[in-house]
Amino acid sequence: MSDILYKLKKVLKEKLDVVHIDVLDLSDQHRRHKESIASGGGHFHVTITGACFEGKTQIARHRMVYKAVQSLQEHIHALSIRAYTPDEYESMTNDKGQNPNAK
Amino acid sequence: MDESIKKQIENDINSNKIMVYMKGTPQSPECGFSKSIADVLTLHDAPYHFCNILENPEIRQGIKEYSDWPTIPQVYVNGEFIGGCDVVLDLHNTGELKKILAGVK
Repeated sequence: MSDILYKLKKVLKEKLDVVHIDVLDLSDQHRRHKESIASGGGHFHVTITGACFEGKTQIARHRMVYKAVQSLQEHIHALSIRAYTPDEYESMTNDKGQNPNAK
Repeated sequence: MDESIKKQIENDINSNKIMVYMKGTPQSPECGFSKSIADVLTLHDAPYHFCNILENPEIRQGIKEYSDWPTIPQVYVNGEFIGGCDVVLDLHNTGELKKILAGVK
């Protein structure tokens, strides 16, 4: 696992009450993205599940994740986030056709 | 944040029913996430105003502070921040975006 993936996971575990984190480095898919090359940061995708997201809107959840990884900002050009509560994650994995955000 | 930048942002989000802060233009987006937003709004046939933050560095910094959101694109509907790329695409997938946009078209 690359250093930055390790650091992302570590900082998210430290700052948020989470049970599951998956971080993917998608930088290879954006090799021709000029601005990203100039910034030196990578493209990452985080799937994160935790009780800390209970009762929070998606906007609030994203803000929590962004704040948690702030110290690694210079290494991140783009961060895609899927943030679930444990219940949402469970219902999603039990029935893959079901969107956990659907009401 | 400079007061004039804040005023400009407030004016933009309040005088346009849908306001998008993006990289590039709807015709020529310069980032995949900005392109996704342009595509989804086109799909909903929703007319929107946009600001190309690559040409407006002060707005680029200002909108991040204003929204308390560190990334671009950002979408405002009726003066309210509804999300960046992930959140707006989620709203689209759940059918919520259709309802939000129905109120402003």
